[in-house]
Amino acid sequence: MLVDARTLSAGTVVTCDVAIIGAGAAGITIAREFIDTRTEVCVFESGGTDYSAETQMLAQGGNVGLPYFDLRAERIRALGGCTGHWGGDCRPLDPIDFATREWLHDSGWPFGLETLKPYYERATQVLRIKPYATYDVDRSQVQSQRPGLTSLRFAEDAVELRRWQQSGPLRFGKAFRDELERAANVTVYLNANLVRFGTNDEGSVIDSIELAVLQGPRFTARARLFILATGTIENARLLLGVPDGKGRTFGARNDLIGRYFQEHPAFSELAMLVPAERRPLSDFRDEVDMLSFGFTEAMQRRHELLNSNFFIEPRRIGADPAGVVSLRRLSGAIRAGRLPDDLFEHISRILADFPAVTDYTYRRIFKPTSDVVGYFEIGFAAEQAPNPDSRVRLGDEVDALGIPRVELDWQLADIDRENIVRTMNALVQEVGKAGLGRIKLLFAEDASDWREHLVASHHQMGTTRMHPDPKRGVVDENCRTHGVANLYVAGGSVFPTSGASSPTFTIVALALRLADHLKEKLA
Amino acid sequence: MLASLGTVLGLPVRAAGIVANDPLPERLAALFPHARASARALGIACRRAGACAGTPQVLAEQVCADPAERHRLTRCSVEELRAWIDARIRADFTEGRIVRVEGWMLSETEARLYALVAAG
Repeated sequence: MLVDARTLSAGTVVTCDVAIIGAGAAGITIAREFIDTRTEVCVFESGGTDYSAETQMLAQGGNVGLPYFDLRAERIRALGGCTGHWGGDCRPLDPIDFATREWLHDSGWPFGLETLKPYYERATQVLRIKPYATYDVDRSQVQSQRPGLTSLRFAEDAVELRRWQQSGPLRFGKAFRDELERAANVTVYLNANLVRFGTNDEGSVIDSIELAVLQGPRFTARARLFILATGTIENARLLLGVPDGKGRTFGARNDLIGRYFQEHPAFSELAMLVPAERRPLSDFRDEVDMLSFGFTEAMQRRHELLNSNFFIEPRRIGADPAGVVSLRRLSGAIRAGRLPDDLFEHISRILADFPAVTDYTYRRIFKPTSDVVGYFEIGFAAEQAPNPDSRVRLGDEVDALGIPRVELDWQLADIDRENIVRTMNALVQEVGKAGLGRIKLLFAEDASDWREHLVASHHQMGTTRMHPDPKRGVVDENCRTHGVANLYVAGGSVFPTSGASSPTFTIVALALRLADHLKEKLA
Repeated sequence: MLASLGTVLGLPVRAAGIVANDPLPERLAALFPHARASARALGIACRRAGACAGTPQVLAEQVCADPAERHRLTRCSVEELRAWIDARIRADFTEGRIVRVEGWMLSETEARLYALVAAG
């Protein structure tokens, strides 16, 4: 059932077994698991069924670290959450992503891929993609489907082909709205914002939460179990900023909340690979499979690398004029929500090379198939090293409901920067060993110009990291908040490390695992 | 590999038949009969970058330090010479013997070959 909380009377008290705060991928997934069970579930969503500018203002926040996207536009406060604008790419984490790696401080999940595999399998059904086994890449089969990329025959023990799946992208708000509306034991309250936790004296058990409607009534929800599922940035913000009846916040108890914010830093135009074998551009189009290259686990261990996925984009023969390079740089920067420092230099180059820029745009639109690939443009999106200084914290301003606004201080550590050099040097070696061509690096030898190549990936993770030790994590291996008996956290915020795969598939798998745990708890 | 390397760097390399009893530097330099100017330009860049230096004789000795092997290479067929260099270049990449020249990541052996052309 869907209820607009604006229609509730002030002081209303709703009672349920499980209260889920947030109706995005994680919240909806957990709620669906309880449909047609005896468990009464309430879901509290800040927004309505559609985007609302007024509600979206609650997401406003500041970026005080590395350049990042506008936080007000980055997260969607509406039924379905960020699945309302995600790209739909699905890939599980790799086995090494769960491992404790001696060269990567604070790495290691409390469990391995084997634990999550059954949930990934179930997540494929939620996300309406092919079964998990699809991710096992059969090289010989792939090759016939995609002659271009697979013609780059790297040593198999060094570089692996990785398959991705596209979920549509599945918009959870639209896809599951009818099901949620029909569910007798699940009630989704729209336009309901968490403003207060009700706890016992010690703050170790939550008995209720207070919710507020923008310029409307406040009401209370009582439940046995509470799940915070509002996204990586908002999960941290609410734990840091929402007080209990005594004015205490969870943030005051655990300094780790908000820390270890991770993205998938993507580095574009790092290098060009001139292939030994010339192939037509058409060999790289109409691909059946979504593939990427990544280093094998053995290779990552040998070179002490962070996991990453390479972008290898075919380009026509002949170097693009400076104006076209500037156009691409400018487009990339605008997509990343910022303008480059040398904006006017780029604009002047574009104007100076205007005929070439027009031709480039024409080619991009009509994509003639007779061209030959002259080189590949190479970049990669990497796992970000866990870093306590990369964090979400509270700012000085408050939103319309009196909750402090967020400040995002996204930081990369030395290891992330060094990883650019190590990763690209390893790629240079593999290309040379396999006789695939030669690479020209387009960044400074010490990668001191890394900022010029950096683009974020719209993937937010890590601010309520999972670890069995309360001193090292915010939630335990079952995603229960340390020190609070009945508060759970769902979403990318619990990832201890980020891997290199898009997070939503793992978020859904973890939500399914949490739902199973909650069922056991309630039994 | 050198053929493909030639393609990569715009240096078409063609078989030139067996050249017997040539001193090794000359044989190595002769591997770029149709792209000598390009190889020379690359070699100058390699020298300027400090990636390799010395006379053709020194550079040839750096490419192949073993006297017996050098002797063999001066007498083998061009195809064998290319295969030897190909293996040597791949070994360079495997062992991390790589130099950066104006952004290009070259094996030490190939950089020396270009420098050798430039020195000639």
